[in-house]
Amino acid sequence: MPLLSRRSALTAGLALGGTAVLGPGMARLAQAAELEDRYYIFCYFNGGWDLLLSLDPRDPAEFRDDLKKSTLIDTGFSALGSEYGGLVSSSVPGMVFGPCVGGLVDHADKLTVVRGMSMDTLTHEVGRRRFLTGRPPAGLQAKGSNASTVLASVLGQGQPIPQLSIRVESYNDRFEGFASAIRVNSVQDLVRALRPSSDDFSAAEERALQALLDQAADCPSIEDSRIRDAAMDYQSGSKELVSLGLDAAFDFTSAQSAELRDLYSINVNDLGAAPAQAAAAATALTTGVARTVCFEAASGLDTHGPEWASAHPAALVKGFDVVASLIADLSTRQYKGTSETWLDRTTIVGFSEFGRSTLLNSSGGRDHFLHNACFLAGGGVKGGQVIGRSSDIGMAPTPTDLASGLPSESGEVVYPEHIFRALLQGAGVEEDLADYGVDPLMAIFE
Amino acid sequence: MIWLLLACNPGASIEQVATVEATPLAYGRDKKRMNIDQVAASIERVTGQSWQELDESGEQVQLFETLSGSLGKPDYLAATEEDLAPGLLFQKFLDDAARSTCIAASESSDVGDFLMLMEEPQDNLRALVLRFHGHDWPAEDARLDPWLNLYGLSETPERGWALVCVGLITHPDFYTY
Repeated sequence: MPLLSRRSALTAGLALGGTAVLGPGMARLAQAAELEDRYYIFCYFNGGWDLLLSLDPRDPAEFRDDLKKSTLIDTGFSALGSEYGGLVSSSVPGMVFGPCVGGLVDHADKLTVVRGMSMDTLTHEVGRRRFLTGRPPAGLQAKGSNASTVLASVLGQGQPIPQLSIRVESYNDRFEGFASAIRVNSVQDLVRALRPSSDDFSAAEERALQALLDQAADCPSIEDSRIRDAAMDYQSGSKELVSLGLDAAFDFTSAQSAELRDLYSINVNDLGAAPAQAAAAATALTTGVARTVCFEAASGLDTHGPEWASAHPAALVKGFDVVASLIADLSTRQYKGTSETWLDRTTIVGFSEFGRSTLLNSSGGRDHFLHNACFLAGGGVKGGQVIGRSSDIGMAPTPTDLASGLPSESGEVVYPEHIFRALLQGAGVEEDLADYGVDPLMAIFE
Repeated sequence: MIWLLLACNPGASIEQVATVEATPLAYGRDKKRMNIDQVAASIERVTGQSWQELDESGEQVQLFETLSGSLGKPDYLAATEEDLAPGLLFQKFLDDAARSTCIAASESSDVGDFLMLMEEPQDNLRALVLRFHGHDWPAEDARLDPWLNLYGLSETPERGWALVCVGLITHPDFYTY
């Protein structure tokens, strides 16, 4: 049961200054179509990731220092600390990663890696919003809705929080208000948001207070104002949400959460960190609280100077380790009494706003770059697969056949929208609900 | 407009010009929600209390600051514009803040300066509505009745005004303008 029902259509675009087009009828679509019972987790690596160190590496024996001027590629492996080796082989033949892929390599058999993507921007906000919405922003202003919003609008009507977003921006330009994210900065804030208010007043006093506010909601002066009308709707939604008593599930400081703390290496004094966010994502899905979750798997990746050699690899490994814990967790949780696991039903998408330059700059760091890659795992995703490729000169994006995933001159350069269109199709939605205007990258799926 | 038309057509009579229908006035802007700093300052202004609690180390923390990220306040790194939607989290935290500050105000020795300004309940309510919402309602105004009924539910005047205070803060007339 979504929490925003009374005036939900009105609330859809308030976060964008009230410029929303009202909902295109997701509810009817959801009822009419044969939809897959899919869940989604979007893991954001904040700052622009180094693909040579992770998802799209090159062999330093082949891409030698003395060839940099012609290949325009410097693997940079030799500048890293001794804890990082060279290329990392996985259990999947031919599926090789960079030295900072962390624990994610253990799940290579469940991964699709998409290489050779383009972002058409070197600006953080633009790249981030492009990868969140699948639409090029207008200047810095996001256009469209997060893919997680679109998916929540189609599949999230049964969840109290159809879309949860932890430290990640969220947009909703046209979909029903219930699909908009509840966005928090930390798991601690989420717990506080879900915790019932203080019980200083008697039940009779609470009822009277609520009755007075309900009565106020029907006052003409309230109804004449979009924001005040929406405010009353959100107010009742908020009370409904806290009445569900969901806070305990996200209290990772409790004794009941000991196993989860160990699995994700959660520091109870830092519940804003990625491990707690990932655990919250898994909890939100498996307890039926949310349909889609976005969280910040890594931060501090924007390393233009010498810190690139130390801070960037460490942040990457931490981020990939967190996602690896998430995959491990979901793959051991039984899905609703069936023989499937939660990972079978949950599609995980790992992304960053863009990659980093293929040559080190004069400060020993890497700058922003137009190319990108991403990874997907779980729910319907074909495991042990690499889609597309970047060129061997400067790692430029190259065209990919969208059906087979193989590099092809007659294919298309892959953008985030190709992936989101595929996610929608994978959920059973043929229509291009978000106006991506591209064909789906169906090679992602089995 | 009339003088302009007369100037354009000096032969026209006043009666003829007066038949021109007036153009309806355009609507003014919609209400806006206060930003978080404004909400925090307003609550402190009307109740004399700030929304705070002791953290694990025993230090007093201002909760509107602690929760500013979740409340959509810009950090000027990832966001430069404040999210002013009156969303679920805003409502929840506003409710928490209202309860905390109104109860504290009602138990404070300064209660006479903030929640109990007048002796007669109706006069006090009018004073509170003016203070919290900026409405100067006459004594016989029927809109006062539900608030007076709410006040009358509680066992003590302090508690009754605390309840009214929560209602006034969580009402959109408080945080929109």
